[in-house]
Amino acid sequence: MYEVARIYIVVLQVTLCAMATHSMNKEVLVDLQEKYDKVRKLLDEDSKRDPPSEPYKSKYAASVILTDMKSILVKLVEDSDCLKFKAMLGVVSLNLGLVSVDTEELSTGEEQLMNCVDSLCDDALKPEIILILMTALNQLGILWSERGDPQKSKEYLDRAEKLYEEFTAHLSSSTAAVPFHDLFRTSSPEMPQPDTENMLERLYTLTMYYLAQVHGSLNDHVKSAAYCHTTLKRQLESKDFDPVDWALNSATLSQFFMEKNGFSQARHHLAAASYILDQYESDLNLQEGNDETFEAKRERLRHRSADVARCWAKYGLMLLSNSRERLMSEENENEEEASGTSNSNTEELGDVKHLWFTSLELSCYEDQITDKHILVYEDARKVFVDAQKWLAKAKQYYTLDEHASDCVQIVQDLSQLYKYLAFFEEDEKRQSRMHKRRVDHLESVLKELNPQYYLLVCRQLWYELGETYSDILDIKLQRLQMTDERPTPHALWKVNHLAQQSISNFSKFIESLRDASTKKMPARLNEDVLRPALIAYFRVGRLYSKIVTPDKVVQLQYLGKSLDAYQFLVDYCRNDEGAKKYVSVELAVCEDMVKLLPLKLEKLKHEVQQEGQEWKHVTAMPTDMNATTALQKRSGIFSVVHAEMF
Amino acid sequence: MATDKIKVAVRVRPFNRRELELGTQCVVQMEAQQTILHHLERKQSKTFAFDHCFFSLEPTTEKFASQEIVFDCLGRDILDNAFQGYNACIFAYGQTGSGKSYTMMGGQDNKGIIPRLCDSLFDLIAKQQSLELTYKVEVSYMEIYNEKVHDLLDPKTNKQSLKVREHNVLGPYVDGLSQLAVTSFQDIDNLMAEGNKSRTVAATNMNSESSRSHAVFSVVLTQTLTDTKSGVSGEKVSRMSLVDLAGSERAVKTGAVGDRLKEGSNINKSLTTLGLVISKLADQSSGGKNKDKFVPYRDSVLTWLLKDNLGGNSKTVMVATISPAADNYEETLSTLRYADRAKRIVNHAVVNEDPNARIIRELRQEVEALKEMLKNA
Repeated sequence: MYEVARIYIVVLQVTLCAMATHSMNKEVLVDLQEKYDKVRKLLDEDSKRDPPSEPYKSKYAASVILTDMKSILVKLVEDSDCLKFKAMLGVVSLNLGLVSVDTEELSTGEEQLMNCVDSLCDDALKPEIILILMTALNQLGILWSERGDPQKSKEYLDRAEKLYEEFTAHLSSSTAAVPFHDLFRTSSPEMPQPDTENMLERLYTLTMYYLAQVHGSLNDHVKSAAYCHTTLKRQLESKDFDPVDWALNSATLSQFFMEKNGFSQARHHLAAASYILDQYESDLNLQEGNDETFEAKRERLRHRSADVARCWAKYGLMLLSNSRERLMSEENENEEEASGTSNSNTEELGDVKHLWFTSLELSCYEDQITDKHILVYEDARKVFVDAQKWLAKAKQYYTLDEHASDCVQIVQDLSQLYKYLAFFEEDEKRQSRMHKRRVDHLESVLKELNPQYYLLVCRQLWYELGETYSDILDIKLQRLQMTDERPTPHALWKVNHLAQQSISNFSKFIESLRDASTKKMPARLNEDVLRPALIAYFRVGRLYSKIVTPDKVVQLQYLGKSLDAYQFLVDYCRNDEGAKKYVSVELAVCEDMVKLLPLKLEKLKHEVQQEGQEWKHVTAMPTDMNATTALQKRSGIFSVVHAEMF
Repeated sequence: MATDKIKVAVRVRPFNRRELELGTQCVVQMEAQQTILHHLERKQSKTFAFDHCFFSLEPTTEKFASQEIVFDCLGRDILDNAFQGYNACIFAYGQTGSGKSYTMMGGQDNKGIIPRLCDSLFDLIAKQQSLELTYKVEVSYMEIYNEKVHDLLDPKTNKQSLKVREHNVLGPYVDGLSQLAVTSFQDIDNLMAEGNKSRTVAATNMNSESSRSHAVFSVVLTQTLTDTKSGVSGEKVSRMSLVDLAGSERAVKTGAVGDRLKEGSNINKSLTTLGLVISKLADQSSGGKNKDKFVPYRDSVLTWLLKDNLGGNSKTVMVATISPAADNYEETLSTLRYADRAKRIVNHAVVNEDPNARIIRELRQEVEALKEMLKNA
């Protein structure tokens, strides 16, 4: 009974409305249509050509017409309460609001938009109304964000989101949203214009995009990323996107996910990026052309493909790095040095995990690399090989002579890959070889760089080389310690060579910090280099003590250098109180060293004087094999050397 | 002193005649290294800190920053750097009418940074040159528009976009950019005027979608030191770049913005900025190391220009010019925010060290061993 009554009322309304429309002077409607067309022309076309001295000329003109239309429609609505008139009035209020906002009258704009929304919210889900309401809500979202109130902005956007969801839930073929100009149309229906089709979908995509931004302003980055994903997804579905941009965006978003341990999501977004790029490449290949625009397209594809490749490589690196941290933190669980910051490897995406491009078939891309944490060498190696392949691809575009900085970054990534692989490798010899590969790659790129232009990059390379040589040294020392046998002369030579190379690189780093004119180390180091510089001294101090030599005079020299290095750190911190907090642990060790080493030096000097009679002619530094062997032949020396090393 | 950050200076101009006639209120206050922007109706004012705040509102006040003062603070270092063989870069940012042109170029009787720089340059050259030490000065002028680079001194190839390259030995350069020899500031002035004629017209149309065009004027100084006995010579090449940054015009703020990301919490209306929003999202670090991810550059050409000039022994300065008038509050705020953000741009080539816990442990043991040894000595 109720149903019948409802239908009866609706029919009555529609009939009354139709009668009202019909009975009044058709001229009024035609007049409104003409006015609306004029407004559209002013806003969509003429305003682009307004002179700089009168930038809002067309917009003000449109506003005048709209105000006129408004008074006409207000009267019509009063008289007949017809939905169509309400909608038309809504469109007018909406446009008045948009113009006000564009002409920087935010308060007036807000008022008009609120008018529009309030007058229409009762009929929100009607096809005549929905587009107007969604546009108005989106615009209010923008307005409030411009006022610096993202929370309020979000309220309106959330409303728009809900509105769309409710409307589409009850969607049927007859309820397609009615575009604005159809409301004003008086003549028979034309072909639906392509850009008014799917306007609802486009408005909703914008709502998603605006929500992504607003959540960013509210520092809810995970939600923001989820909305970015949705925006991308909708672009895919509407087939309205530039493939290269889309792929790049998806790959960039993957970098966000992987930092939050969302490796599945990261991999998925990278796979999608590669899929779209491959598709675009096939399309381009089918096209013919050698003109500039075609070349430019190819170039752009090459460039961004290289970028996506780098994102893939970073994925591999992060997976390895995270896996390593995870394994190490399990080991350290009971150690007092477990850091306060959560090393959590649980994915931090909360309940917004389901971020998949369901319309794409990506398994052949995703199957190439895992999204799970790595536990054993074999798995690490697979990730290594994959990432290495991506880096090789990126390097084809980012060549040393055209993109020097990027090329170096790629080499640095390669070095990191080897470093992480070495962590999973148990055999020490193989570990050493991996670090040696690092050295080879880093040195080969370093020698090609002009430090005048690439000083900061050279510093990074010197530092990493210092650390890498030191890592190899430590592995060698550890191996030697394990065996009870005497170290061979070759082994000793190797140890010294590694130590010297490490020292040399750290020293180059330090030297590069000297003031260009005075050639002195600055009294105050820049905050960016402070810790690395002091640590470099610290490392050098320790390295000098690792150099093996039976010659006590030379030992004395190295010990002196070791002391000097520790002393620099201590002195620097004494002169710069602020520096202490950066190197507090190292400082404590250095202060001890600086107290104790002089005593050891004294002792050694004493011994040298005593033995002065015996070692008259040994002046050469026994860092080459022959000298070491020669010395070995004398009895008793070797055991001294042995003891000194350990 | 080497620094990895941009030095940022802000300058406020005097009232113009129209503003004086209208009795416009001043909303800009400067104290030492702070610039404070007042809002006439709202109580809260906004404070910004910069390396230099040039108060050029009132010529009679004590703290008035004249053209000479501005040059002394910003220009001298740049010139010194150049003679030492290092690069430098000055960025100028400000809406039309904020005094940007006056600061950078000035007029006959009150020369701006560029003429003073060039005059000093040629003066120093005249004083220092000799048989052994010769100098060559060349200039180039290019425009970056929509990520495309155009040579403004070679109108024939104006349509083509030049490629930006980073050579491992030669450093960054623009492939095919013409470099013309000059011997005086007059030469430079003439070339700049010519070049300006070739600037993309669409870029100056305020209502156009992407009215972002940056002009980069470079002065390349080559110093050749010859050993007269052996005839062997060594060369030092340095470049001073003067970048006129676009993007501060009214229309950019109000109309369709193209691919520029708005400041603060403002929503970008067009989906063309999706990439920038995602990049920003990926960029903000979750408290870890920056190098762990890769965020592809969007604004590649300008960023390349900027990043090259940061760090090592290069110097980068940004000068932002603002109006003191209350009616320009929004633009002034926008400029100050932009300058404020520039302060935080750092060349990301920082050195990351591996954790050295193991080494520390080892050394601590050695300390203990030493103590033992000396006890028993």
